[in-house]
Amino acid sequence: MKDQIKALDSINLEIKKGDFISIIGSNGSGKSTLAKHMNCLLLPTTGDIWVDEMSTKDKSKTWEIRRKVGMVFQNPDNQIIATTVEDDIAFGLENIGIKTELMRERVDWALEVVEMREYKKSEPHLLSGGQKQRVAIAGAIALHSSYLVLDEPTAMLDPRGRKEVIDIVKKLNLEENITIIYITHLMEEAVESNRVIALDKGKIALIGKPEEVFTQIEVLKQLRLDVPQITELALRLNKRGIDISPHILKVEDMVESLCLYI
Amino acid sequence: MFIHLENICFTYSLGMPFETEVLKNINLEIDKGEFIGLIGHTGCGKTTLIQHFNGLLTPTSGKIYVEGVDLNKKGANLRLVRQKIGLVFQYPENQLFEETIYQEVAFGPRKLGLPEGKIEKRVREALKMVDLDYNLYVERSPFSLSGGEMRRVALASILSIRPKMLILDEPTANLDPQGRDNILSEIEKIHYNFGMTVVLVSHNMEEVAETVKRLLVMHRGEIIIDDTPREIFEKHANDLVKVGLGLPQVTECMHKLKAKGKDVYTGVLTVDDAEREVLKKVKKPIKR
Amino acid sequence: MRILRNISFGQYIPRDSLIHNLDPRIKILSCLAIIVSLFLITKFSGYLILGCFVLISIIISKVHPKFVFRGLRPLLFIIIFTLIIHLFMTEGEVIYQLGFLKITREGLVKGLLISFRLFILIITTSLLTLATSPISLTDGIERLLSVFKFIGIPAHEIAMMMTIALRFIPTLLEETEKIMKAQISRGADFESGNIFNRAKNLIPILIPLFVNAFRRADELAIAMEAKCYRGGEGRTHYRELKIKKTDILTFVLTIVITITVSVMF
Repeated sequence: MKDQIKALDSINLEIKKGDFISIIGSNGSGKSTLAKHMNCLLLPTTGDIWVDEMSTKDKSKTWEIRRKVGMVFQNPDNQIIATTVEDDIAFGLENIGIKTELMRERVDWALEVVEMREYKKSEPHLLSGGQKQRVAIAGAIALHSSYLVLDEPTAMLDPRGRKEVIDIVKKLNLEENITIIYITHLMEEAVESNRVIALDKGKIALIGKPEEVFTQIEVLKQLRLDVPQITELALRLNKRGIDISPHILKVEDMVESLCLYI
Repeated sequence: MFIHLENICFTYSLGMPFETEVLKNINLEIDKGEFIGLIGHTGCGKTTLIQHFNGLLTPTSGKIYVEGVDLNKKGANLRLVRQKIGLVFQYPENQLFEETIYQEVAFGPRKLGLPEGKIEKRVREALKMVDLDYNLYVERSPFSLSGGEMRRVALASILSIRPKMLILDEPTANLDPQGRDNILSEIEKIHYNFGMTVVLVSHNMEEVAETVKRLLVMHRGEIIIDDTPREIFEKHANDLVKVGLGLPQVTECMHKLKAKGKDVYTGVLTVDDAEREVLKKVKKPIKR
Repeated sequence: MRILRNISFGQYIPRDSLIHNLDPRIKILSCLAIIVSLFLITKFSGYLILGCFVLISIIISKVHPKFVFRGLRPLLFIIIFTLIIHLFMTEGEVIYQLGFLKITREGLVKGLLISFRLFILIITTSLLTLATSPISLTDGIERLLSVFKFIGIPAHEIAMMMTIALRFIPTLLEETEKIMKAQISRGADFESGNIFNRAKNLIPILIPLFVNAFRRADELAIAMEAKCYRGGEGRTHYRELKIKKTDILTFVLTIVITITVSVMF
């Protein structure tokens, strides 16, 4: 085939149940492509992807995998298909043939988890971006997915909306034990996860805990990614001889460290 | 004075059951050549406000003057105003429709009635301002480009009308860090090289603080703070937090240090500023 | 450029009334029965009876008649136009003359009859959409059409298309407004010029709308697949439609009235 572009190159990755991982990278790094492989929207040219010991290449398992791996996309509007919130959350349940009485329970539960109970009967166009994304999340978890992949869910939201989404995602991970795969290019969101993977041109460039990854400022800059201001400050001060840890991610930690020197 | 707003109020759906007061008593003066940031949460009225500058919206009460002309007087030449004031909406790539980039950028000048020769000159000039190589892009379809490139074409299509003032509504929305830096530096270049008055609407405090010289903070339809970024960070940090607008990390750090009794300057905008300030105030001997 | 904001889509006005609570299939079929009989009736008294039936239904629905008549306004022109055509163009016994314009008795009768027919047609369908939520309507249409699945009518697909269309109409209206404002800001003019110019001037709005619509459709399809959508096979329904006693009674009543009226008048 002419003009083949290797979107993903030799990715080896293991994600454990209960993990909260972020995948960061600039546009074109392959993060969206990687996300779509996790629920059979895309199939690998070579290699395999296993979800709970089911291969994504096994056509008979596609729907089972899609039920287990919920997905939330970037555009809040283009994921909502029904005319009310509750109907939209029920959409996935209708697709897999859940009985009507059980559906009501699931819809109510999902609404409760994403804290949108008062909006059950609302029409989508009257909701804010953050509310729409929460509806999308509810629609995904209503299927009782054990994994949730979020592909830049806050890219089109304002700061308030972003906070709504990331708070719910953290809650899903901590309280409902849902494994989260969160794709973003915003550092302040990636720091919330417990493992960060940085992609560059389809390859894994960095992998580790947030404090390990975000302190690699030179690499991050080469990957054309943002560096948290406070981490960069820590690194610079450390280079200038001030004995503070270069692994600082939070403002409070920096303040505590600097108090000893000023 | 370039733009003057006097007691502007605006209510949506006036007289109907869902009427909402969006702007309350806005008084604002913008001079030629200013570089202004407008920041506030969704719903504070910033998009509504900027649509008044080029006459898209008429205030419910109050007056707007653009270069001395009252926009709401009968017979006001709004087409002329729209040539002077270039308004770039959020996600401007959504307005592209022409077959080639040339046609797209030529749309504005053509509507102004310029002759073909002058139009070509404008297109070349505008594409140069957004760092797009004329020869590489001119015959391509706008829809064949990446998101960031489409946005620059949309920006060029406003620049080609040679406005005196450029208003950009969230120009970095949904761009990755590289894309964001690119477009911000292009806007800065346009301001400094061509002396264009610029109003940048955003809700990202870090990006706005670094670029603009004057910052307007809006909340619930009113302009609550109007000052330089440094002054605002130094003296109005509490107000910003009260209305839910965060501070850049380094600024927050300085304020927290000050709260602990440390004598530090809190008007820091960038990591450079913070580094300098800390090194100035550091007491203990530095290990070499 | 006044686009309705904050007002729920469609004419639907929620109320707790007998009519609102009827099964949508019954409402659609009753509506159809009334419309069919409208075309079979030939005398005034027939229209009068049907008209009263519909008006009583409106009162029962607790929707203020003014909403019903609002639906008439855009079509008032057609009704009056039809009336005038019949008044002046029908051959027969002349009862009034204005210059060369003749109004005949036959024309008056025919014109009024047809106007009544249109009038009742409009208020009946208005009542249907005012007292039935869009979801209910599409559900009802889907169930009714699925009876014809055996001859290949894709009932589920039709209902899905209707739902998505209804869902996106307010969004698309907002988008149209945004695009218009953006184009006006760079010099586009949607008001002046003859009809050809104005049509051409719509291109800067239509093309972006279309391009965005296709992109939306693409993203929406992917989102639907991610939620395990694979067509109508094996799908269950969140909203149950159950036929109650009131539904059966109402339907029987409607059929009886419409048949009686069609036959007798």
